[in-house]
Amino acid sequence: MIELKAAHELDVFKKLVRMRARIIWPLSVFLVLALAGNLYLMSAGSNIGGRLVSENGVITIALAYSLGLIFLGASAAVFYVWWANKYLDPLMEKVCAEISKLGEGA
Amino acid sequence: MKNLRTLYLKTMYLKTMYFRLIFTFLTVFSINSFACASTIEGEVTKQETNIFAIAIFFVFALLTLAITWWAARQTNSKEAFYTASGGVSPLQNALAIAGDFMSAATLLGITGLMFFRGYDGYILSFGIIVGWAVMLMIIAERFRNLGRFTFVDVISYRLEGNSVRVLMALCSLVVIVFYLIGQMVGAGKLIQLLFGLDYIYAIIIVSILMVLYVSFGGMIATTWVQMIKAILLLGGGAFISFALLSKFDFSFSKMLEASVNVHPKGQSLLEPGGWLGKDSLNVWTVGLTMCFGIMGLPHILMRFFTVKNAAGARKSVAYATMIMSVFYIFILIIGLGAVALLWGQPEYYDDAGKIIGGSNMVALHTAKALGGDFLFGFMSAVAFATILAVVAGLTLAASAAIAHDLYAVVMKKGLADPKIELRISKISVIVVGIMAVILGIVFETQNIAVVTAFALAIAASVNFPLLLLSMYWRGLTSRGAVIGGGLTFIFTIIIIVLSDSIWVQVLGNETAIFPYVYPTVFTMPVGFILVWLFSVMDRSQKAKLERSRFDAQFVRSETGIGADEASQH
Repeated sequence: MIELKAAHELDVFKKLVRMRARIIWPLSVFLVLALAGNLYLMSAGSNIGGRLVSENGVITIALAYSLGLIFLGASAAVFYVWWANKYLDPLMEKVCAEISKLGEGA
Repeated sequence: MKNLRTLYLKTMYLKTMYFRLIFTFLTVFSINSFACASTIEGEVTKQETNIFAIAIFFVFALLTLAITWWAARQTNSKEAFYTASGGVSPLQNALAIAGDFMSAATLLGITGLMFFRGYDGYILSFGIIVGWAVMLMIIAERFRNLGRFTFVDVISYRLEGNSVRVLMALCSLVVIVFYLIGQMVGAGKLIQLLFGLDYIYAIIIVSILMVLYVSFGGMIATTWVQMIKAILLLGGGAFISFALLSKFDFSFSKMLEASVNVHPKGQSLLEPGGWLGKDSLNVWTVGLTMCFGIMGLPHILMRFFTVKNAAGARKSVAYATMIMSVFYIFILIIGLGAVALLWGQPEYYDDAGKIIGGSNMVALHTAKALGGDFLFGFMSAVAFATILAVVAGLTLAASAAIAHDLYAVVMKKGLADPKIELRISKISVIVVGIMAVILGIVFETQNIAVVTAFALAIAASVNFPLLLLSMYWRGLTSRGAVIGGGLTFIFTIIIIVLSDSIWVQVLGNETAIFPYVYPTVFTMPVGFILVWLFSVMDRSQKAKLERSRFDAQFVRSETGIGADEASQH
């Protein structure tokens, strides 16, 4: 517990927190805003969401947007895992090594 | 050693006899139900007994019981019972998560809703995918690093006293019960349609199977049942979707045009407003419920502990998000495409002009229209497997809340005998099974997608704010969590009772006092505000101690150092 509390002040740990925060919060906010966009289209009713994507078709803007939103959610998940595996995990190992040194020092 | 071996052999013999009895029961039941379906008069005699469906049904039941038998031999500790001892791979866990989440409410409820109400029903899908992606980034890894068996472990990690754990265990149980109702109603309707069997007997059979899976096989059996079910469901969904599209030259647009042409709503079928009536507040509250509700579902969160570490949890959720995204696209195709196929076709309607079996049976009728009795039987068995997999996960989470959170940690202060804890878990499973039958009867006439959404409303309003604040906000105190969380819980329950689904449809009043479908747009902000307010007002020494523990908790949540010790705090 003591070394974990001390680890909070480590530069490498702060870097880890900053690095993760720079990705997860903007991406999460973006996704929630994208969801809000879909809800707005539905709230406004057929005035906006009910308009057709193309004149000859039947697909509405709201329906197309919802499909895009599902694709966006899945893409964000793939991106985050790729990013975390490539950039976060190596840094995490460094942090753990530093914390281990703290424990040995104590 | 000799005594131990004798005891082991006796136990194995008793288990063998027990399973033989169950197999005998199933065989007898299959014959009786076949006879019943042929002789019962009234509405259900209009259903033809589908021998293929019955055969698949029993193959699945026998297969899953065999898996349970195998799993039971490995389930010899509470770690194995609650979390499969963390030995599940990310891909397996992803399939199980998807299998746990893609419930009967999704397959049967959403397709039924879209068939009658149109595009609006899809709001129950897209918000969920966004929710999963967000949960992956802000919750999954930290959650795995802080807890061990239940999500209450995470919330109460640095909080003193038992009151938080009691409150959150109670919230878990309420969420699970609501979710369970949706599954039981779906199961009852499905077997009723398949066998012409009385609804009550149908849900009793589901309950018995559910109790067997969980009490003997624990998390290992539950995981395998969910994995198999997810693969079957995806396979069935893919087949129906492609078969539907093939009727329209694989053109999604042509399929929708055909649906619009036959549905009384016409083009409005694909426009917003068919279900929620363009009511902004209604739309937002449903959307928010779907997105944030999943982040507080105990049975889903519990699955994060079945993998080795946080990286495993991360991969699990990402794979699961992809699997579910594909599935929800199938749901869209089936829900709207079914209109072109079934609408106005007399063989799918009863004398009163209603679709046979009710709105929840649209997906299964679509299967029949596309693949005859074979596909109908297959999808019925898959839907049944879906229900069993989900109720097994729910029951396991309920037993963990009772045996781990309430008994072992609260009553025994973390010093419970693991064998007794395991025994209490199994007794809890039986109690939950009985309760599921009673509630299944009370909520028989509800749309199962709506009932399940109540679970999400409580999860979004109480569990999610507390989980998020416990992980990210230093200022959270046990007093803030208990008073704020408790008041939000009561507030949410009151609003749900006053809504149309309970106040009018269950209690028989003329109009609902709360006019919206779900309360989340009101109750979730209230949850955050109340927990924040009562935490900042807390100036006690205990609060100082709890706040001082945040830094260490934060390091552990980020790095996973000492993760296995998390729940022993």
